[in-house]
Amino acid sequence: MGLIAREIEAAGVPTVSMTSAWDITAAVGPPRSVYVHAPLGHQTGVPGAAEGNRTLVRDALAAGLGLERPGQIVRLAWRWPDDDDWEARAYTPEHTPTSADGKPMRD
Amino acid sequence: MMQPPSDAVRYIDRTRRLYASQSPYRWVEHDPETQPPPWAPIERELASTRVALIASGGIHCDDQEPFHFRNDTSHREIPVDTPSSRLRVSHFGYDVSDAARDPACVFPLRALRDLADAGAIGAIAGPALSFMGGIYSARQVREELAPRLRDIVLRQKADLAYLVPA
Repeated sequence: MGLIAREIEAAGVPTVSMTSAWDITAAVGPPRSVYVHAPLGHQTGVPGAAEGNRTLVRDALAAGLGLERPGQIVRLAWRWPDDDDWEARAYTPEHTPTSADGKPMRD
Repeated sequence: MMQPPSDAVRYIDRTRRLYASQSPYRWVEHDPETQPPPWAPIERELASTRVALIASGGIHCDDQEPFHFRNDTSHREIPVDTPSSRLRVSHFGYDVSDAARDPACVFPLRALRDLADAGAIGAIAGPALSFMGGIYSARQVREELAPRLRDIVLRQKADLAYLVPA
């Protein structure tokens, strides 16, 4: 996604990118990023929470537009509503994304 | 590189560990000193900004072809007035159970519509653009997908592109 943000920004259109993977985003370097501390698949919130999604997106756009240095990542003051167990589980052998045939994602 | 917050998951380390027996996955990296991000100045208030939505969570309309697995660089154009009930998800790279219940987790079209109705943003520069982020070839993204999406955003006369990965 960072490559696409850079391509669009280079054509003169400002970009704001969401991320929940700080290290990957920092490596690719999109122009403006907003970090949400949540499991992948929830970069704009949780299901069944229209008002929360709206507030998150509004706050993210405002925070992104406020960034002044290329490559900056700002953390949104948004809290994952459940417990923090997901932090330990993400991308471990027991909890890894699977392809259609059930095998671990690989390349 | 900016230091990550202490509670941020180290995805690069975990992916390397997970697939240690296979040829190493290579992340795209740009040296911030020699390859800094491009920068286009913000010229409008958010309330008068035309926002283009680009999301990589594999969302598509129920009458559109689902995404293929791995290295599918196609995109779908989703009309801005599409109700959430007509959106579907096809993606292998993340747990889609929540996105299948409510695509708003990774595809905030309804949120942007609400913000436009409330005057918080100027408008949505439609149609919204969606693709499936499980593309392992940076070359294909650079040469095929990114220029195609860039040209659409330019045609849409968007003031801002809002990119949402999954």
